[in-house]
Amino acid sequence: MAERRAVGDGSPPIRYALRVAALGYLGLLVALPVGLVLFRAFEGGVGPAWEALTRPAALHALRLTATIALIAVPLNAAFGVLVALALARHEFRGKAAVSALIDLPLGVSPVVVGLALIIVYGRTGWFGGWLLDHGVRVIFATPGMILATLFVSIPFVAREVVPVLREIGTEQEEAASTLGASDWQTFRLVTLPAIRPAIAFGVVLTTARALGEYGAVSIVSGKLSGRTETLTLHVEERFQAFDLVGAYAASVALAAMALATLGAMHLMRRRGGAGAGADASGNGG
Amino acid sequence: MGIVLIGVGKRYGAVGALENVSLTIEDGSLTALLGPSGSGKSTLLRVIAGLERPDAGEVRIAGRDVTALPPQRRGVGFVFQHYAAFKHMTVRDNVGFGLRIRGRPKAEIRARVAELLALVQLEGMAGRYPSQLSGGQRQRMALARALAIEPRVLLLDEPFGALDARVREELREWLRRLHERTAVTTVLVTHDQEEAMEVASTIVVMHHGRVEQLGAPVEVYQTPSSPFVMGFVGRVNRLGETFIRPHEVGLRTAGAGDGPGAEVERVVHLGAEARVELTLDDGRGLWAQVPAAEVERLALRQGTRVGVDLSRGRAFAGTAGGG
Repeated sequence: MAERRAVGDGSPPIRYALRVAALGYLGLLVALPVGLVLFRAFEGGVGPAWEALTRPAALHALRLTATIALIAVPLNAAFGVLVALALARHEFRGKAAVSALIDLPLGVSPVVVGLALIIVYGRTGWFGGWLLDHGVRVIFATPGMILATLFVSIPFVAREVVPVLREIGTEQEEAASTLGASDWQTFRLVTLPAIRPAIAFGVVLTTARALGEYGAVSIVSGKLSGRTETLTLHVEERFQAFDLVGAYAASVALAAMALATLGAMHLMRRRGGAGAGADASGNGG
Repeated sequence: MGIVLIGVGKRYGAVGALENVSLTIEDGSLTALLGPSGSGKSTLLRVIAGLERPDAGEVRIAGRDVTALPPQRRGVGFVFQHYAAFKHMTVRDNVGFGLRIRGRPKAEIRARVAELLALVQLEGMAGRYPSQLSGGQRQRMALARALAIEPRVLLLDEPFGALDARVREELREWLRRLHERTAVTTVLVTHDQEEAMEVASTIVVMHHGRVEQLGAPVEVYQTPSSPFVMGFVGRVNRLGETFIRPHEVGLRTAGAGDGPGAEVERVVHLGAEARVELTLDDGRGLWAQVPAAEVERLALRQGTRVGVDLSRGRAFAGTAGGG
């Protein structure tokens, strides 16, 4: 049986050392910095932090970040589910290429993404001039920032959903079709409930990336305070201006938005997984 | 009527899964598609259901050409080996799924589901989730779900393959009685010849994507059309051109009558019968299955010399391709 024991089941000193190492690592790298940000933001009380957050530039950054996320996340969620269905359920020419393209944003530096967008949509870019002539400004404006955010947050939903689709297999969907369900009914009633938790997790990752993106967005935005400044850019700008309370307060706002997304997705997973929850309690008997 | 297949062919790349299969399945019959894995039996069932598109040929259900119809419009009930239960739905919602899709009134669905749950002996399980059921219960639920839409044909793909031996035994018996009550044309895919013999009124033996033989169980067993069928639906000895079942091998006192002589290698008692392993005088091996009384009468034990009667064996034209 020795070989079936999990790592860490060993002698007490080893177990102890493993725990200390794991907790110490997390503490130093995650808990301490986040805690310090919180501490610094409210060091002088809630008043200054609140004042920093309600300044017009900060409010604008908050709104812009929310707008970008609210557009980019649903788009990429829908796209991610479609691509996942295509990759897991269909055979087509160029499938390997699509799969690789989906992963590309994970490998390309965001700065490169930003530069690429400028090459295509900038004033002297491929369609940038044409678009400007028709009154559409992409670079140094919100559309460009949305494009950058879309690009960097493409992979997450598809990458979460594909393995789940593969694992549940096609039998339930085939059963539904023999029972008369159309493709859409099958998707809505059979496939979607099964992949809902994976979508939820993918959306959390997408949102985190959309809220936190700095590199690509900073290049295409031009960082115009009160115009093209997202919350992450605002943090940087306040930091450079030696307004530490402002920087920390905006950071806390970012963290709160991310936490809210996590909470919302957790609720959605619980609701969607009601059946699974009942299973677990039923199997206990 | 029933199901008619005309010249059905299906290839996966270079591999031929079905080769020009023509077959008539009688209305109201319970037919088994029997064959080893890779013989095309499951593919054929999926072609009937519309889950696979044939490359050639025609599929008719109840007189109607359904070759171009999607599974939704064929009116077939399909049961999968691994149940294909909708995991996030209760037993009630699983069974009522097809009726819900058809937009039947809630009260009617409820009544029909209750009726079906009684039929498959799952009363009181309506509120459970599939994961709270045993394998046998899940498969009965899947059957009720398939029957709910009042299919013209019921297609079962290795339905008992994932169950343990005792449950499988029960469900076979139960399926036969269910078929007697509902009289829905039923096609069952299996690789288990015993299951096919026990359940089906007609057996279709498949091999390499072709129909090897079609007939009643007793016909297929007693007058197999090829060495493959003979070997697949029962045990068989092969001696050159002659194929003979162990229970057809006659044993007698050495020297009596004609036929070759042999020496007993081993006697294995199986209760009412015994298996006798023999070496013929020309060195070839053979085994016979005889009543226990014969072992007594001929005093069979290792080294006993006996005469062997192979007259009940049969030869096939062109026996090159044995199973």
